Amino acid sequence: MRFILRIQFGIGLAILLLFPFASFAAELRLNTDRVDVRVGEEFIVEAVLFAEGAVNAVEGEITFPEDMLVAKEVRDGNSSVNFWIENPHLESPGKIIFSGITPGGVRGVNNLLFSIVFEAKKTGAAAISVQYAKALQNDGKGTKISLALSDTAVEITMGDSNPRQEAMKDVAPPEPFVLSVARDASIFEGNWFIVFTASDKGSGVFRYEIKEYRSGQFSFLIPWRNVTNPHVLSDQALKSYVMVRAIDGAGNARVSEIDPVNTLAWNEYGLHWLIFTGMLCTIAYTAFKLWRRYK
Amino acid sequence: MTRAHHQFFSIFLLLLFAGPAFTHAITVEITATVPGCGDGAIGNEEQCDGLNLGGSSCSSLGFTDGSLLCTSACTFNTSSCTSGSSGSGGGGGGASVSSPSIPATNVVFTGRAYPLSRVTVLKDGQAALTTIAGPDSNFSGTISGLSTGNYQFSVYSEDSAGRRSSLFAFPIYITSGVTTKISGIFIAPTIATDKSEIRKGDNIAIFGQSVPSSEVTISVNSEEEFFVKKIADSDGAYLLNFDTSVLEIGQHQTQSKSALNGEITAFGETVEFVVGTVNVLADLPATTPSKGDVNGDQRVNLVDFSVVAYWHKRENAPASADLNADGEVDLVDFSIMAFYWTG
Repeated sequence: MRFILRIQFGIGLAILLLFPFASFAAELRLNTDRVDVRVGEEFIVEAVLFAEGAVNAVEGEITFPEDMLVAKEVRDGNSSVNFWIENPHLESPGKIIFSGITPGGVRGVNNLLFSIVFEAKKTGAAAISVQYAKALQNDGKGTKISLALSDTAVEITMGDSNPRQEAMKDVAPPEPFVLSVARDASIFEGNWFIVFTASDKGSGVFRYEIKEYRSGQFSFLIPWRNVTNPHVLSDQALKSYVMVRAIDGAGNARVSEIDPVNTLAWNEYGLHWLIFTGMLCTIAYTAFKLWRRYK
Repeated sequence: MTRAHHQFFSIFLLLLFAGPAFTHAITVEITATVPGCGDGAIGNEEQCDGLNLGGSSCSSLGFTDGSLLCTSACTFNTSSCTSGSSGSGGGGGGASVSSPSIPATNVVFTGRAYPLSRVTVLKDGQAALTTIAGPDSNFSGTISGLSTGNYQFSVYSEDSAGRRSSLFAFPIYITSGVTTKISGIFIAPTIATDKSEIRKGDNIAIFGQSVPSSEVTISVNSEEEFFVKKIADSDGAYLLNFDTSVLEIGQHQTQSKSALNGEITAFGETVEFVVGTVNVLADLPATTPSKGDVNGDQRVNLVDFSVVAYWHKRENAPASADLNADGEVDLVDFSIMAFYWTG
C-alpha cells in the first residue's frame, strides 16, 4: 500500500513540477491506504489538496453510497484550512460538504483538508467521490483555479468477529484561543456578539460551549450551553464574564475567558445582595432579642 | 440605646459597606490567577515558572546570547535574548528550517522586512507575534507554547508609508519539545505608482521600500514585459521613473521583487495603472486594508470573517459583506478576505 501511495505522490509531484502550465493548477484528491475492507471495519479517507500556486479558498462536497458506508466521524485536526465557512460535516445521508479559507494560501503537495472515518456496512464496491469542488487563487480577486478531482474506492468483503477500529489517541486539548466581542449593524440587529475559533492538532475541535456570568462566586451554577460562532451575547450591557470551552473529538477541553467590558455597580453583585439580606436578617433577629431582653 | 447597642450597630454597618469591596477584590484576584502558574514548579503546560526555567536558556532556544525570562503566564520571554545573523534560506524567498532538540516547543523566526517596520506573524491565521525590524531590516521573534502538528504561518510587514506587504505564508510541522528555527524569511518589497492613469509617453514613478542596498527588480507587464533593476537606498526606498512611450494604450500592471546576498523574494503586490490620454494622480496609500475590513477597525480578522460567514448563502446581504459586489456572499468573497487578511 505504501508503494501505491508513493506512486500517487510521485505522479502528483511530477504533474505539479514538470508541467507548471498544464490545464490544471491544483488537484483535490481523496486518499486512503485501504483497498479491501471487511464489513464492520473502519477506515480513513483523507481529502488532500495539491496546488502549484497559492490557494486560499476551497469548497466542495464528498459523496458516498449511504447503504454501504457510514461516516462515523469527520476530523479536521491538523487541517491546512484555518477558518471553516462550513466545517466538514454530514449534510445529508451520503453527502459531506465543506468550505474554508487559509489566509496567505496553501501551496505544494499533500495539504490535508480533513479526514473521514468510514465504517463498511455492506459487501460490494463503494466509490467515494468529490464533486462541485472549487479552489480559488490567493490573488485578491478570488480567481477560480482549474481543479482536478481524484476519487477513491474500496472493495467491501464479508467481515469477521473482530473488525478493525480507527480510534485516535488524542490527549492534548485544543490550542489556547482568543475571544473577541464585537458588533456590526448588519447582523444580530446590531447587538453585541462574541467570536471565537480554536484549532486542535489532534482530532480537531468537535464543539464549543459557552457560559456567561456576572458573579464569579456562582459561576459553577451556570450550565454550559452549546454554541456556534458568531454568538450573540445574552448580556448586552457587557457586564458579564464570558467563558467559551472548545472540546475536541476525544473530549479534551480548553477554556478561554474574557472579562466584562463594563464594571458592575455595587448593587449589581448577587453576592452583595446575599450579604446584605443576611445582615438585615441578623440585625432584625438581634434587635428582636435585645428588645425582648430589655423590654 | 446603650453604648453596647451603638457598638453593635457600628460593627454591622462597617461590615455592610466593607463587605462588597472585600468580595470584589477577591473576584479580581481569582480571575487574574493562572492555575498552576506561579507555584515555582513547571507544570504540564508550562514552559517555565518564575525563576524556574527548566534548564532552558537563550542559547538553547536558538539565540546567540542574552537573558531568558519567564512571563506571568509561565511562557518564555525571549525579549532580552539576542541573536546574530542566521544562515540564509534557499532561493526564491524560501525559509530554511533546522530543529535542535531541546525541551521547550518554540518557533524562532528571523528574516528581513523594511527598516524599522512592524512585522506581524500569523499562526493559523491569527496574530501571534508582532515585532519591529532593526534599521538594517532584520527582525526576529519567538512563538511559544505550540503543540505537535501542522501549522500555517504567515508573515507580513508595513513600510514607512503604511503600505502593507503581501503575506509570506508557509506551512511547518512542529514537534513538541523542539525549537524550530525559521530563517531566511525575506518579505517582498512594497510598491506604488504616482499615477493611476498616465498619458502615453509621460513618465510614471514606481516606488516602494525594501531592504537597504538590495537589488529591486521591477516588472512592468505589457504585451512585452519590461524588467528594470534598481538599488534600494540606505532607507530601503527605491524609485523608478518609467517612460511609458514603450507601452500600449490600455491596462498595465507592475510588481517588484528584491535580491540581496543570494537571497531573493517572490514578486510582491501588483499595482495596476492605465496608459491613456490624461494623467490622473493615484490615491495616497491606504492605511486600512483595501477590502475585507467589514467592521471598520482597520483589521481583517476573525470578526470580519464571522460577519461575512453569517451572510454566507443568505439573501439580502449588505454591501459590506459582498466584497466583489456580485449580489451574493460566496467563496469568492472569502477568498478576497483571505488575501487582505491582517489577523
